[in-house]
Amino acid sequence: MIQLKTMLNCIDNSGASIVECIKVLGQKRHARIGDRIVIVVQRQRALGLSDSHSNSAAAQKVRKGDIRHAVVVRTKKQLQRKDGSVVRFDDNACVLVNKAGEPIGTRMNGVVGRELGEKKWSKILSLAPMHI
Amino acid sequence: MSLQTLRSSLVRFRDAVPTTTTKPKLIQPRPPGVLATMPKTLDQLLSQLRTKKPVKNQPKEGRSPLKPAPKKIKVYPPPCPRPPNSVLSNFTTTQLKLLDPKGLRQRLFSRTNKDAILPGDILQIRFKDANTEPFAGVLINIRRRGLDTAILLRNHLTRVGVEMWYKLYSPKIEGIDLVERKERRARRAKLYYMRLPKHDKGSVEGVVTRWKKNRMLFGGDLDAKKNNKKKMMAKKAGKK
Repeated sequence: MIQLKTMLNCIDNSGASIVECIKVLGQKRHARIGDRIVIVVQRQRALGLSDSHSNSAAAQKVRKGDIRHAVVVRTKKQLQRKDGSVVRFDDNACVLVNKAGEPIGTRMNGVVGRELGEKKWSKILSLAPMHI
Repeated sequence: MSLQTLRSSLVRFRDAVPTTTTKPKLIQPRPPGVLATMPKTLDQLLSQLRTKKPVKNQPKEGRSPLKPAPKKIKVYPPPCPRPPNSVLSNFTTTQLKLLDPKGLRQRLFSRTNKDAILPGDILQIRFKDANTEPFAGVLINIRRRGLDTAILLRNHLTRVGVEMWYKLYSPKIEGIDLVERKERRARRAKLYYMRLPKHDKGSVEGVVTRWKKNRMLFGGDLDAKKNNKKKMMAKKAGKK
């Protein structure tokens, strides 16, 4: 249930660490896993410490105050699947994407929901280290 | 009220009653000879009484002599006795026979079974679909709802808490493994307090890998068997 003012963790290496939802795209009340939202970056990752493996340019793609699109990948609100199982995460998390829908970051850390594949976000799903 | 009107009204009443196969006959059609001997006026009746002739359909005391004696209405038992079980419970039992023919899963979480799985135990769920990885976690809650019985498992994946509800009798589930029991029985049925950082068990991955290693020693590795099967299938496909 991501809505206006919801704070989310950003789990890619775009440079954002905590973002705030300012709009749920599509005619929806709340965003669920796989839904697109507009966010504003509230806190960015520390420059050198964020990701030692990737170059610093990748970690600097977005800055505090930037307004970007994002895709919700984890929600604290439980989500029921067609087989009756329900998945619930401990936090709300998202991945930044550009207007065309391609992920801004190149790596992701953290488990994501499998619903991304059904909602045409298979690229994010393949980048994720684990999906449930 | 004349006899005819009474009769016609009774006939109408009979027609209004829904017809069933075991319909009791409300009115017996009077034989034609009876009406002739029926007393039509009080005088006739009195004369009949005086002569002490047997009067057919003699009305009881206190009733108008014009009215026929009330017929005995036959009372039948209800058409079919109610089935002992309701439709829903019948459905549940039939579906359970389909989904859990041996009743193993039912026993696994039954309250009467002494060795049943209890909240706090660590479980692993294997799926029939080979692409879905088994999910392990601490059992937090058992929702007992007959056919819809479900269990809630909690684990940490990539340092993020994940909780999953699974339907116990889901055909997608291949099996449920008991990885580790809680040392002491949990004193609550719902262990929601395990969500709090203070009580959170964290990842159960280490416990599960240890358990898998131990099981491999005794040669009961289900995953290996599955993988072997896959390999065999692949070999067969390659030969073809």
